[in-house]
Amino acid sequence: MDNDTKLLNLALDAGEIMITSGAETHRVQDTMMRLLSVSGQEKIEALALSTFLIVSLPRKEKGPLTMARAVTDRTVNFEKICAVNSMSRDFVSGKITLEEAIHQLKEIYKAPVFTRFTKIMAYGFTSAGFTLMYSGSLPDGVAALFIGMILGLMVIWNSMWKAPYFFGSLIGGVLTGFFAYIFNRCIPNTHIDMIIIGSIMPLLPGLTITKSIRDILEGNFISGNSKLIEALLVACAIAGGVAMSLGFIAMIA
Amino acid sequence: METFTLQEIIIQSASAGVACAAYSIICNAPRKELFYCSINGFLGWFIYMLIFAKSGHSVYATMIAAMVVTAVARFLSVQREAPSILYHIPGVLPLVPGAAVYHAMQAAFSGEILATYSNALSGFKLAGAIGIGSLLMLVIPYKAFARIPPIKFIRRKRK
Repeated sequence: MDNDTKLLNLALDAGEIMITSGAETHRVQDTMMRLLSVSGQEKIEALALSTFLIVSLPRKEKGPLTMARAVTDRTVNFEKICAVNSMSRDFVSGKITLEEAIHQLKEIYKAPVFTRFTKIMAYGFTSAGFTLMYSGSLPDGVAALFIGMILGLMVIWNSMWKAPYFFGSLIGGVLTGFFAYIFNRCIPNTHIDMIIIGSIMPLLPGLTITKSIRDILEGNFISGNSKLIEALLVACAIAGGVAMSLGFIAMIA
Repeated sequence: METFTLQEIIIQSASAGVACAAYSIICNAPRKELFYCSINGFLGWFIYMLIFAKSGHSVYATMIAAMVVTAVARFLSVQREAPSILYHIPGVLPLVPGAAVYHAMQAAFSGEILATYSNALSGFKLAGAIGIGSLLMLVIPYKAFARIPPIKFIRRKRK
């Protein structure tokens, strides 16, 4: 591979890691542009859509070179975004060479994440904290802690067999409604609506809505709109899941 | 209108801070930034509750809280040399209208059409307020934040 191909590959890899980790489209384009600007050519082009990347170098002697890549995975990982960001700064300022940058990207790709146990506990504390925040009582918080841990288990289990995208939200809603009813029956002084509102918070698409607003404001209408629809569908899936389980319980009881 | 004492507001905001730190762990935020993420979550709900308890306008309270949170997120992103989305998301998270979504769903489920529409509409209003609040702070150019002198306790130490 010649240097131009390597550079384009570097930009695409960086963009892919960032999109997969949940960065805004604007930042991805900006980073790829900055990486490509090292080639010193004019009219370079870097385009990022919500699931698609295109980079292009208009080389004068050898003819133009364009590469594209489709991105399928969607997770959230802020640490990788930070790492790619600082790598691109180091590369552009000339602190590291092209080979070193490619090597660093491979390291970032395998960067360690929190252990599964920590993540399940984090889900629990998110649910419990938001229940208490919505002026729920202490028993509500305890119930939400357990429901959050169940949701965390479900999310991790879903990521292991690559569940369809909206399936997780739907099942999460169903589980929340079901266990909230059970806890409400078993523990005195609990309010079922407080438990449910707090527990669905880690599943709600707050991140997607915020990102879509930022994308639209920066003029990336295609990715902004697609994320907005995605957020609406996820919210509807969660609400539908809760309604399904509560309705089923109302039918039996 | 419900009334809240200052003590209740602080306890609620502290639990919002814990929840936001936990959410940042779900999002794999770097360990050193977790404290700042939780500070931003605390601040968002604290300001929302202060204004909401005084005036009873949830939309204005959400908008102003979103403005403060976005400004703090951009300030932290310059000081800590990290993307601003890292602090923006946990800060905005307590303001996301989860309660409105739930109440709309519940009303739709029990067949109260009017309550469904009013709850869904208030959810959209709150989401729009977050958007407008963020917009007002995002249009400030990067240079304005870069001009703030570095603060010793917050600034990240260089290797």
